[in-house]
Amino acid sequence: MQNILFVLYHNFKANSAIHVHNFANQLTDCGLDCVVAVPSHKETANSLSNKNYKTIDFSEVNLLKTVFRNGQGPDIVHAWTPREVVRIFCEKLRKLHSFKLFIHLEDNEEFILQKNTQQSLKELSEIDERHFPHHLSHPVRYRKFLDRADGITIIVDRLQAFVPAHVPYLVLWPGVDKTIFFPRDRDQTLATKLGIPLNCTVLCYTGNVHAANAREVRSLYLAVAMLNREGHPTILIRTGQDFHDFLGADDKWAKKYTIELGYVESHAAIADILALADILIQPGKKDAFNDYRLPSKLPEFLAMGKPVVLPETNIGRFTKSMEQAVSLTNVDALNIVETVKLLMADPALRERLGAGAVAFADTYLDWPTNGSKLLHFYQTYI
Amino acid sequence: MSHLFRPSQSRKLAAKIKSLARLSTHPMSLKRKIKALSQRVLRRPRYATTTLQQRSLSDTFSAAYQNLTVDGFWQILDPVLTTHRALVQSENPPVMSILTPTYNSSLDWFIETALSVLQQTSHDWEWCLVDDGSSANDIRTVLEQLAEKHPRIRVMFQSSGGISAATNCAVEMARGQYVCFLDHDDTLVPHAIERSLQELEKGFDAVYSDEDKIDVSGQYYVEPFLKPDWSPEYLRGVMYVGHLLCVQKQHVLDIGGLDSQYDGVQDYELALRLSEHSLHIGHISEVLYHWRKIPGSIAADVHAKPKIEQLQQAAVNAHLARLALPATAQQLGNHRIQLLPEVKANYPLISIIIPTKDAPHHLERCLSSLFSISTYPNFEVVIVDNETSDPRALQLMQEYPVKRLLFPHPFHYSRANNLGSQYAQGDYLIFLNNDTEIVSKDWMQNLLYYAEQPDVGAAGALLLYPNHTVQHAGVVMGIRGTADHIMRGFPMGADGYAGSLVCAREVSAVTAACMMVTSQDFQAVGGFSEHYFHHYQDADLCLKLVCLGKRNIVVPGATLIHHESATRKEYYDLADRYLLLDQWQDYIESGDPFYNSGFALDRFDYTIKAA
Repeated sequence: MQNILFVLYHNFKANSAIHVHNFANQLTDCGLDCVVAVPSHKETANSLSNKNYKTIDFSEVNLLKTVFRNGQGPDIVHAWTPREVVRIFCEKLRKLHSFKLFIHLEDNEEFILQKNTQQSLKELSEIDERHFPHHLSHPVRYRKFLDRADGITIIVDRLQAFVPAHVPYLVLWPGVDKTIFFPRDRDQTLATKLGIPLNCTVLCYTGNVHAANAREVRSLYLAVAMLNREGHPTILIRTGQDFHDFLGADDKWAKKYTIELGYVESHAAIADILALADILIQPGKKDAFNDYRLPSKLPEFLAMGKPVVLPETNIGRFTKSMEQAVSLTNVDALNIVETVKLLMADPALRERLGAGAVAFADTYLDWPTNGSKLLHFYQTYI
Repeated sequence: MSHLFRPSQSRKLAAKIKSLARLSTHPMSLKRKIKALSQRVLRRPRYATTTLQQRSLSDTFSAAYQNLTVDGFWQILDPVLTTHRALVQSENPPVMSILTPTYNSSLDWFIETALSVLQQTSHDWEWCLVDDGSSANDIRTVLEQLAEKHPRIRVMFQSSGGISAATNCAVEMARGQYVCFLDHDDTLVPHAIERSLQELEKGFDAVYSDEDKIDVSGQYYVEPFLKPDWSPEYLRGVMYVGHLLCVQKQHVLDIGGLDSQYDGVQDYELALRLSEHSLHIGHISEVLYHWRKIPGSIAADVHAKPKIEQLQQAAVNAHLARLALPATAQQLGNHRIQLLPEVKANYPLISIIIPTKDAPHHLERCLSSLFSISTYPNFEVVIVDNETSDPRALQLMQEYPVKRLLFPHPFHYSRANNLGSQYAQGDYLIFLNNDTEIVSKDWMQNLLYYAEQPDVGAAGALLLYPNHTVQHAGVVMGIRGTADHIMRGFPMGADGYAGSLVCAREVSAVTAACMMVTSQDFQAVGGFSEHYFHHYQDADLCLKLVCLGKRNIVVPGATLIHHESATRKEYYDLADRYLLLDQWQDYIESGDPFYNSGFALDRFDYTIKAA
């Protein structure tokens, strides 16, 4: 086993790309030869630091042998999600090369599918193949794709429900780049530049809004508005893009308490922004969406040494509440308001939670450790 | 301007204009009067018209089913019977027994009844017919032969004992786990049995569906009746469950079947008795049954059988007695029943909490009507005074026997009322706006009758605008995306949708402009949430009560005037809106259980959604 090809569903601007980037780096450090394929715009990898793997666009599939050092094709193809764009590319690869197929699951694909299309699985399975959206998983074909896998990695244990019984699987948590995300004091120059009032509690949310998470992100904005009108000055710093309306046509009620920075490419800049926060909050609750994913911002939140508030689902099931994080049944607006008030009144608690969060990240969200687990999984099942 | 009016409005308007023209002596005066009349008509609310404007073609009608003979009947039915027999595995016991009492049934209609049974998508049924001493040979002959032609059709003949006796006989005959009731001239929707069984398999003891009527021509389905989810209070006022009712057969047997002394309302009386046994009763929001309008029947004319109302009243009174509920049923006409609370030996203390600031005119009207009209013998008034400075208002607080609390903060509705509740001595709290005016002298007795019941959370009043149109008759969750009052603008005294305005009924929420709740329940839900600053704190409270397993009731017997337009602010607090959604969006998205999903949510008048 020498050549590993990771296949992403989007270019390197996607959150998943960070995971693949780090796993590829780890495996390369272990002596393997890694290539990451993206549908297009492979140059977006330039935004990621310390890249020691190669990249190709899907259109360059015929050049694959020239990219691996030994002039051979991939020994392992690790498809990052079973979404159509990835599945179709892997089918093309099958015609060109012989390899072991591993597939990574990082979401409840069926939930995402129905949420995005507002159609039932039955209706979606009847759509003409030519018209099926490639950025989603086909309800029938993705299952067949999983059936053919030699191994499946899942980002959270609950995704085991989607793994065919005969296919071995590994729970594969991501890590966090501790050279970028680490505890530090607030950069007061940056705070001034962004216009953060001195007397405000600062919350940060770094992530996009789409149909699946719109309601929960709205909870966070609402909590900020409620804290302010209840006499607790609070500011929300937000990065990322909105792909779904969630605040209504007249959003001034919420936006007047936020600093919207849009898409921030640099991870170092994201870390500086997170360092401005007093508390980091992942809104949401146990449901068909959250139970089957691991929000990519959570490892970053936990590494920053701030108190983290999260729902008792996915990674929140493993953090010790009130020691490593504040884990709640439902991180909705009311609970966010009450928790923020509680934490801001107790600096010692905030400090304890921040230290606990870092300890959790050090233990469970370490790239070298998790990269080794992946390597061992490959070696076991290849 | 005629294009602005509906056809019915245009006709009425034309008649009134003619009348005005006859009386008027001056052309300019007449012109002004016509303009004023037109504007008044345009301002009238559009409330539901569910008659001829909503109709669809019958599945089973045929012009050939006229004056059918027995031979003609079999010419139509035999091929269908043959087809169906081939589909049925007769060795499997049926799950559903369809019960039909017959009496001198017209073959013209019975043919459609039979077709609708045989064309069911589910085959897990049997049909149990009991003839109640028909004198007409045609139907007797057909029934005898029907039983021989199909293994799933069973027929019994009895001498005339009445509809309940015949139905009970059919229940005894039934082999299915469930029974449902089909009249001999009505029809079922093709998937009625399948859909009902699907719902029953979820664990319900009984389910009922929506229904409509077959018009007198037989060609159209008209007047759809879209019902709320299980509403035992509404059932006491309105015979709403109707058809198609499916029940576990054992439950019917356990309560002794139908009662012949209530023939005419026997199915309604059965529903009342079933409701007394903590059964899990479900509702299917689909029309599964077509009820035929026959001249002389109640389906065609609610006044067709005058004795029905007496029987209905008697059935409700017997039901109340069995449950030891201290009220008496009174006929309101139009098959509506009002419950009048019985006079009590002892009346518990009610605390009426009124937040107020200045507004002497409102306060005087409120206190004056409260003390002069109310007949309740044991209440206290707690004024939560938000720093009143108006001398007359301050004087009123001295003139009337009220307790006064000072609330020295920017006005906050929830906080003010919560403060009042802390000083209230009564076990029952009424939250009352200062811009209300008492109309019903026994309003508190009427609210108390409901609030005293352990499974009732909030009891809300019927509120009218000063022009005596409806301001509040219950809150529906989901209207305009959040929550709003239903039947706003309806004229006082109107029936509402199937008695919804004149009979007490379950609702998701009531307004706190006049709301009664026990002190215990109020504390159990933490009072009014102080996170709501302007709106929806009452809806939030009521939904918390629902989560405790309580019912919220709107009580037309407690009527007040709410001078809302005088105090209502134009400001709409979006944070409150999104807080309501944050807390209750799942409840809203699953549909208000007391406002059928077939109604449009961009209106508040029971308008059926466009197809």
